[in-house]
Amino acid sequence: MKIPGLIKSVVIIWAAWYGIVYLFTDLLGAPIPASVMKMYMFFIIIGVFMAFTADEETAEEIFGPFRRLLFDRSHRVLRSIVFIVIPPLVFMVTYEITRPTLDAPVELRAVHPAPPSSFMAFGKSFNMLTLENPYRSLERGKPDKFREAVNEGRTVYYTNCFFCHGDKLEGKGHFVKGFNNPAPANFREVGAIGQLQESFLFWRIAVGGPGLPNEGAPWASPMPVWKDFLTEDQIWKVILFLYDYTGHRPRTFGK
Amino acid sequence: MRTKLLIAVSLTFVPVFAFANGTVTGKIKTSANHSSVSVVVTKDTAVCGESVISEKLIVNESGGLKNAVVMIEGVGVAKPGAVSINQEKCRFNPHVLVVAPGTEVAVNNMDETTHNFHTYAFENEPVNFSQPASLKTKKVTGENFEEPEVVEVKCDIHEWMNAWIVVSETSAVAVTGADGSFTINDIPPGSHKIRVWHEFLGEVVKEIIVKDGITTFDLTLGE
Amino acid sequence: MIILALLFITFGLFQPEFSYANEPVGKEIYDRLCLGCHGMTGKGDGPAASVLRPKPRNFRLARYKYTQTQYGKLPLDSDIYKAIAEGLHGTAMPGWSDTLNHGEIESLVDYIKSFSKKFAKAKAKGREPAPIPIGTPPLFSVKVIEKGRKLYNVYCKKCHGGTGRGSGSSAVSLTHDLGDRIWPRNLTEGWLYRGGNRSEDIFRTVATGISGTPMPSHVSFNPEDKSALTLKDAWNVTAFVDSIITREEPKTSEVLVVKFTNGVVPKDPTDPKWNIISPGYFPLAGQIIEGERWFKTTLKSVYARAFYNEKRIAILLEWDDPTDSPLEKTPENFPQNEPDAIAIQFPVKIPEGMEKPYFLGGSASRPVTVWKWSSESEAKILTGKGILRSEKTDGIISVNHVYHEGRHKALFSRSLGGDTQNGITFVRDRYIPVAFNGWDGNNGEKNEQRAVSVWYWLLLEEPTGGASVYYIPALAGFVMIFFELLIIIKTRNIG
Repeated sequence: MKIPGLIKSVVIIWAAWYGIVYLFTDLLGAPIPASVMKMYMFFIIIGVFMAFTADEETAEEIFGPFRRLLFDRSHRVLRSIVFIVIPPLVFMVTYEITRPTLDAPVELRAVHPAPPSSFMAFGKSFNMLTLENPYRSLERGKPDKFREAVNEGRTVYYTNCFFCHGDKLEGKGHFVKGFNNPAPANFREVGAIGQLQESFLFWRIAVGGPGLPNEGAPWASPMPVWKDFLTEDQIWKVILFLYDYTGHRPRTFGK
Repeated sequence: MRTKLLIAVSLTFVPVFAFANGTVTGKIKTSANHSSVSVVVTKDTAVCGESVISEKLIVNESGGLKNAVVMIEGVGVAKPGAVSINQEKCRFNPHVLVVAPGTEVAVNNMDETTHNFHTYAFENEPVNFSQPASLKTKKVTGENFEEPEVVEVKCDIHEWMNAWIVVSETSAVAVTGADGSFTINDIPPGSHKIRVWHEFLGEVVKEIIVKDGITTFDLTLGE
Repeated sequence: MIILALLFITFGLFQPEFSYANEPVGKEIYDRLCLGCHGMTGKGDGPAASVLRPKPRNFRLARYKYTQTQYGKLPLDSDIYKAIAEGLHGTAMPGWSDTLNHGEIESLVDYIKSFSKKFAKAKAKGREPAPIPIGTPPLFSVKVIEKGRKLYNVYCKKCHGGTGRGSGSSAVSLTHDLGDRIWPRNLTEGWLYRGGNRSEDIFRTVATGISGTPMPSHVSFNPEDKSALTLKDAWNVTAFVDSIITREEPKTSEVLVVKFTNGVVPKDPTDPKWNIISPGYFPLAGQIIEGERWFKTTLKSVYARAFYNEKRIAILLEWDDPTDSPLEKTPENFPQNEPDAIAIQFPVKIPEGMEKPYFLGGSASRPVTVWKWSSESEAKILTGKGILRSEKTDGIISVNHVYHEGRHKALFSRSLGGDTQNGITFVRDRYIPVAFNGWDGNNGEKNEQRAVSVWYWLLLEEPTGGASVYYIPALAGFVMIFFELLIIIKTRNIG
């Protein structure tokens, strides 16, 4: 039996939609962002449309049913039903789109704003171009000492950071419900600390939310000014811990 | 000569060969202030009254300390018997109870209000059950008092209500009376360790030479 | 397919997963993931312990709170497994089932048990932990709930209070076995039930109590105890709890919509007029940012509703707090007796651009206006130039407050227009930043030690709400009808 082209195309589009949702949500465990989904579906629908309208026979399979419904007298009853249902439907959809929403205004915020070339902390100036983690060299040189520094970083993390950034470093600490706008950084995410230099983390931690430039919305971030609570040493060690726990590598100057 | 020999033997082989015919008696006193402290009752005043006298430190005019536990170590093996403790006018009675390991404790609620019975035990399994007026008696199994331990008991509903259950392996143990006096019988003569514990003043361990007949032991805590 | 895969990577949707190359060993996992809180030797004394409430479990005591075994008895392996896999809701203990696989969690259970000799001892004595029977759950009918309510009033009310919000008369003096203060659960907030909020979880807790805490067991498993509660009674209590619980945490409201009213704005926090608005939900967190940081808040959220008319604005804040501090009678063991307080914060002026004042009490260059109610002093308006630097102004704010069974209601009202003393002027249809702060006096909270929120929005809704929103949809509908008519006419002609 030949399946009508219209049904075939609808099935293909539906299967593509379902497949993508299944792939992301169930197999990859991360729901697909709505904007990405819209983009995929746009291309898929265009693709299906082009494939089916390439020759006249298949095009007729798609458009035929519509034409017959609208203009063929034998379909009069069905047409009447469709004609009665459509205007209220259009009304409702338009209302949903145009009604005034009371949603919060969209605010743009740079998550990793450009740092200054140098900044003041602990009574001295730090040059971002040359700043390096003094403990990083231990990793190869003295692994035991390095491990010790990582463990000290863990202590810093668990007494200061994990309320927001979480036990699993995924940005879901037990205070996150209250401090979720902006949401705490997820250190495990690709594109977070793996894309950054340790000097950037040092600056970001030392100056905290209020030390951000305006594009980072310094008035909104609950990140404390850590140079008021931690020593320089503690900040470098907690940075070691963040990389060690997540398995990411800091970006270095050469690359 | 024979007596001396006996002492020597008993010193060496305590407690296996010795005759347990010594008695230790005396008074536990304290130099701590003995004026009684009353605690404000914060709920159920109809049943409990407006205030209660704190049982944390009960001292008579001459400094005698009530509710201290005196224990001579390694003497006699305590055997479980039937004991009970009452929740009465929002107090536990007795306030200090000594039990042998494995003793079943019957808990009675004499009040027209709901209490709970909560043992703050660590070596032993803790127990905590609610006891409304309708549940007159509930038995706590010996499994909850198996290991030697000083267990605090609380009714969490009435925060001033507490008691102490001392699980003691030795049978040579006594709780001091209102004047601070105690008597422990059937102690084999010889050198022993005597342990005195009080909920507020803490614990003291001393050496004691027990004679045939009566040996006096007085101690002042909290100096 | 390759292109798709590349797309996924560029969108950054692959999460790094932990993997243990060799046979997973409990100790190895523990030393990597658990010791930050539970400590090297399982004593519950990791670095985080000092800043956590509840404290991390001390595995050496082998005492577990949420078990299918009787009060004080050792847990089943599956109880420990569940705590690791699902976490303990409302605490710092997350669920690990997304990070660890089944075998890894099992090996962790074994390792955690090895911290205490009690498991081996119990085994030697032939006393292996056994689950309690759960009986037959009844249908939660009105009759069953009513039976449960009666039992609740005898057995539960003294701690959990008349409304289940944890405001019973004994709630202020509770400690757990290790001596720290503990609060009875607010039974209405199901998302914070540590051991889960399914009916079976509630039943289990009613029946066995919570080991190491003042929550006692209510069912006697000894047939000799004739008048103790039965499994059936415990199910009835469960049915009652089920009738007052909200299981899902409300969605955080980003905007507090202020409704227009033609009449007067309500003056009473209990005015039935409030019921026509559904409250906004605004979570709070500990002030861990400046000064004396505060990690152990008891206030978790604020509910807010608001009205305005041509002259005034009225904002009703409601929040749960087991105590109406300062208390008339303080228990000996917890003498803290600070006042309770709540505050609403706005910018002094509605910001023109993106920039707002610092959410935590403003700053010298961008100050905030704070309306503060406290149980001990007059309500006042403050100007905040930082959380540690706020000054009282001569502005006047009127506050009506009531406290009933674990819930505060404070109704703030002020004229729409502001001045140098009163601060902000409210303007219709503008998004105005708003934040909330709260103090639980009985928890010793004062000054900067408080619960705080980030900025949310407040919006005075257009009063019309009228016909204009329907014009465009109606037009679209008519256009459609027009086309339909065209088609009908055309087919007629063909016919």
